[in-house]
Order: sequence, then structure tokens, then C-alpha cells
Amino acid sequence: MKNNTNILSLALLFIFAIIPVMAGLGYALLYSFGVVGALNQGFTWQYWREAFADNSICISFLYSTSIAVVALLLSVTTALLVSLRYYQPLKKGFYSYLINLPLAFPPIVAAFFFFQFLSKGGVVSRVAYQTSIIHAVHQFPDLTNDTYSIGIILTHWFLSFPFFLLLYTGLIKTQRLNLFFQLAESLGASKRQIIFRVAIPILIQKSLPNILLYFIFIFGAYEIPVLLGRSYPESVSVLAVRKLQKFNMLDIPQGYVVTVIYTVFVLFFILIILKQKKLAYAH
Amino acid sequence: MHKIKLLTAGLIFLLLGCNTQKEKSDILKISWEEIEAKAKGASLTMMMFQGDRKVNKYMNEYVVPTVKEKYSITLTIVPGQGKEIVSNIMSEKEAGKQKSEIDLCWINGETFFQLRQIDGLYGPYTNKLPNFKYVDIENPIIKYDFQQEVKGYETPWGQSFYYLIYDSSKVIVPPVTMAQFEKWWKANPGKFTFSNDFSGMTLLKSWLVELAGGMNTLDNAFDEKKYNLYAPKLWDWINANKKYFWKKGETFPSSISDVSKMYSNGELAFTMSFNDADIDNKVSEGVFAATSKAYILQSGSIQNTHYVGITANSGSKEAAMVVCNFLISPEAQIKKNDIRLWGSRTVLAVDKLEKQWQDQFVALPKRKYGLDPTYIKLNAIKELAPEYMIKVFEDFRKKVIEK
Repeated sequence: MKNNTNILSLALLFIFAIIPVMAGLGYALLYSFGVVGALNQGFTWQYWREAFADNSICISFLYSTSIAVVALLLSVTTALLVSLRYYQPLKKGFYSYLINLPLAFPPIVAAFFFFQFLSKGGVVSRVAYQTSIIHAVHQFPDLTNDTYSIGIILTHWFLSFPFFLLLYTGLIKTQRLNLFFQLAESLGASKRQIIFRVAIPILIQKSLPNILLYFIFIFGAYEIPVLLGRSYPESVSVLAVRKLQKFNMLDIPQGYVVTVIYTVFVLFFILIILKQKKLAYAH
Repeated sequence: MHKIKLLTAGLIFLLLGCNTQKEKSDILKISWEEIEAKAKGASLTMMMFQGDRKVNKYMNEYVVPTVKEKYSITLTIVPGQGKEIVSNIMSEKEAGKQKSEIDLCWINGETFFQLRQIDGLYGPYTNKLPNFKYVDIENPIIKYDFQQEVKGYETPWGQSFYYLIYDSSKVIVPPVTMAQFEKWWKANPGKFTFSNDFSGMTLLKSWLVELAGGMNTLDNAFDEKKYNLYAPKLWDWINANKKYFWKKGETFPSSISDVSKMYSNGELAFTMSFNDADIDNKVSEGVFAATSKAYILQSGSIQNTHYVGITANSGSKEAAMVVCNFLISPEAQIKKNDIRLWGSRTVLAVDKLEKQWQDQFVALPKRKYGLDPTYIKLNAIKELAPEYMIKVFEDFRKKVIEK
């Protein structure tokens, strides 16, 4: 019986996950080498060479990585601080609704919301103008389509902070971490030591697979950087979509080059996550 | 064995090709009455831009019910423009799909160019449409789509021209030449930008025309020599002045709707449009200030026509032709021209029409903010060849954005 269930779950995994991903990757590979595609004329390295002729792909990968790292650092840090300080009152009532709310926001809605909120003509700017904090629209700081991607990072933080907060408050409860804290305290540990030597290492270790998964989510995000980002540098998804859909159809294979690299990058990350998950469960 | 496989594949392709040719000639041989009879009861899908409330209203509340009532054709409108249309049709071709999910599409310029590149359009068929005789086909803006002769592969549907919009309460004398723009930017930093899309690239092309010596200088097929001569001057000029643009020219809005949004909230002093009725509609809706005014550059206004194409693999070509014929009928064009409905300029030669239709065209409400059609016609720049757009797009990214 157990064997049958195993075979069934393996078959489902193959049909709905592995085969579509592999078929997509295979198609993208063939397209990027000119083997398939309405305008392609047979195997060539030309598109890979062209894709790397300038450093736009490398810059996009670096840019997406830095956005994901900064946004996650911010979310995980704030979620850790809040969960360790306030996890009791957050469990029910008004605060729990407040925390769950952003989880219901699709990224495109959140991006639009932040654009309306933080742009020079947005809500905050208007309030600042009405209250005479600024005297002209141009005095309001650049928070969307800005040099430091503040709008993008804040939007990702808005979406991921509640997720990590719920994760950590849940972990503290299910892993009975308060007992660990009490034990550490009875052994003479200071509050600072409890937080930095006991609580944070345990929570980070338990949540590492989730952090890495969220990294992929932010790394591959499209709607948020396309609405709140600058024309340059572009995130990986924005670059791939631009190459796939621009006027020059001879550039489409280059779009597939980006998608192949992106898929390989993500698959590599998933392998790390699986390894981490094993470690997390082992502990 | 390999040769046999190749030979078989070749024969299959040949047979498929013959089949398409036969189908094409069959439709064109039968009478229009027979085409209408065959079209009865068909279901069609039309992919088009649905980002404008008035355009949607015209299609959903007038065209869809009328073709249902007159010809028993069920027309479904699905959203998608330019690149979506091309990638859909291209994917179907690559997947070997014989019957397309899209029968009709709203296209022009680069989309027409791309669809012709992949043989994605059915045609030539327009001479078969009874109402085609009313179309002002000798007008070069209609006969040529981005300098490419239409040759019966798309039905002209409406005319557009490029113009700028400014708020006359903030801009006393709007700049019309590159020198005047430079002067204005320096005096008003941060109040101007253009979008990194079709609209913004059209402004760049207008300046390219000015650099090349004015109207008609870049007509005909793409001239790489001319492009290489004038484009570097354009990029140098933009790079020298972009520090006076919105966000110091470090980024550009991704779409014209973003520019219009910033214009309406006062962040920018200018926006642009290709939709003739845009300024009247936006002012009447209260989106743009009532002090908004439309104007064109001294070098002229880039004008083009939008068309409806039938996909090469449409399963209901007869019905698609019937819908195309309806779209260029005097009654449908009068409604389309009406500023209360869509406000798009007609492709018909009004003087070819019967008196009753001419009277109805004359009786249409006049534009309050839009520009005079005669003035526009005198200052028309034919859309440049699509390769200019491709090059301008690529070079704007490489030589301005990434610099």
C-alpha cells in the first residue's frame, strides 16, 4: 500500500513538476541555440555570444541578487525583533488581522499601492505638501523608480515581513522556545545573550529553507521591479521579458538565453534548499 | 533513411502549402453573398488593445452586438496588442497549430512588419471587401504602413497622429524645435520626460527627422547611412540634456500612461498622445487640466494608420472578412469618428460617400481641444520604416539609458 502511494506521488511529481520544467528548459535551450523558432535557421552559438557581448545579463543577475538580499535582510531582521518582543499579543485580535492582511496582496497590487503611496505625486507627497513639509512636488525624495530601489525593497518587505513574522511566532510556539529562553535565563544568561546566542541562531537555522525559497521568489519577481524600478539596471525577469517581447524578433533567442541561465540558477538554489531542509530536520 | 524522412517532411510541407493556397483562392473566387452566407453563425476572436474605456465601449456596445444582429457572427474581444499578438501567433506557428485562437487583430507598423516576417497574416483580401472602395487608399498615410505597402494584407481602420499636450497655465510658449526644447529644459529642470515605449520612441524619431532636415527626409526604406549620420547627434544631444529631465534622466517611465499620470498630477509639464481624441476625452473626464492644449513640432507630426489583420490560420476567414467589411462601413466609421464614442479619424474618403453619409460626418461634434485636421494633414510625416523604430529602441537603451 505504502509502495503504491509512493509510486503515485512520484508519478504526480513527474507529471506536474519535473516534466513541464524540463520540457520548458529543453525548449528554451533549443531556441537559444537556434534549433527551434519561427525565424531561426539551425544550430548556432550566435545568440549566446550576443547575449554576453555586453554585461547586461551579469548586471541584471547582480541587481536581482542584491535586491533579494537587502529585502530579505530587512524582513528577517524586523520579523525576528518583533516576534521576540511581541509574539504573545500578535496571536489574536486586531494585530493578527493586521499581520495577515499583506499576505493577501498579490505583488502587482502591492507594487501599485506603493507607487501611489510613495511617488512624487503620491499620497505621502501630497500630505507633505498640504502640511507644508515640502513646498513643491520636486522636493519630495525619490522613493519610486529611484537610484537605490527603495520602492522595490519596501514593497518586498511589506509582502515578506508578515510571512516571516508568522513563521517565527509559530516556531517560538511549536518548538517551545520560551522554555529554552527560561532555561538559559536560569543558567545565568543575560537578555542579550538569550536573544543573540539562543533565540536568533535557532530561528534562523529552522527557517533557512524558507529564507532561501523567499530569495528565489524575490529574485524572480517581475511586477514589482517593472513598476517601481528604473530603466537600468533591470531585474532578471524584466530583462528576459524585454528581450522576448521587443520589436526586434531576432532578439527572442537572447531572451531564451536569459531564461536558461535563470532556470539553472534557480535549480541550483533548490538543490541547496533541499540540502538545508535535510539539515534542518536532522536538528 | 534520413533522406527519406527529409523528403517526406518536404512533401508534407508542400501539401500543407498547397492547401493554404487553395483555401485562399477559394475564398477570393466566391461572391460576397456566398462569403456572407458562409460567415453566418461563426465565432471569432479579436485580439486588440483594451486599455481605453471609450475604445472598449465602441467595441462591446456597438461592434459586437451589431455584427451579431446583422451577420449572426459572435465576436469575442480579448486583450493584447503588438508584442502579445506576435508572440501568440508565433507560438502557434512554432507549435504547428493549424487553427489559430485569434482570427482578427488590431495592428500597425512594427506588428504588421513582424507578422509579415513570419507569414502570420492572411491576404491579400481587402479588394474583396465591398466597402473597401470608400477607403482613401491613395492617401500615402493609409496606403503605406510604416513605409511598407499594405498590399491587401490588412484593412485600414483609423488614422492617428502624434502630438504633444501641455498645460498652458504653466507653459507660456511650448517648444517646437530642438533648440527651443533645450532652452525650456534648462529653465524648467525635472518637468519633462518621455516614455521608453512606442510613444517616447516616436518623439525621438520626430527629432531624428528634424536633424535630418525636416519632413519627408527619412521617407522610404530604412537608410542605414542616414541613420548612422543623424542618430549619434540625437544621442549626444539627449545625453547632454538629460540631466534636466525628470529624475535627471537616470530613468524613463516605461509607458505613456505613466507620463500622462504625472502630467495630470502636475509632476510633468508635457505628455504625448497618438490618440486624436485623447486630450478632449481626458479634459472632459477631469483627468487633464482644462488649460491643456495640443500642439505639434515644427518638423511636423508623425502620422500613421491602424489596421485590422486576419490571421493566416484563422478558422473563419469568411466571417473575419465580413467583420472587416463592417468596420470600414460608413456607419461604423461615423460612430468611430464620433468624439463621444471613440474619436478616431476615419480612413474613408468622405467625398466618395453618398450624401447622407457625408452629412452625418459633417454633423459630428467638433473637437474642442484637438487639432484641426487640415493643419494636421499639411504637417504630416509618414511613419518611418520599422527598422528605424527597432534601431532607435536599441540605441536609446545602449547609448542613453545604459550610459
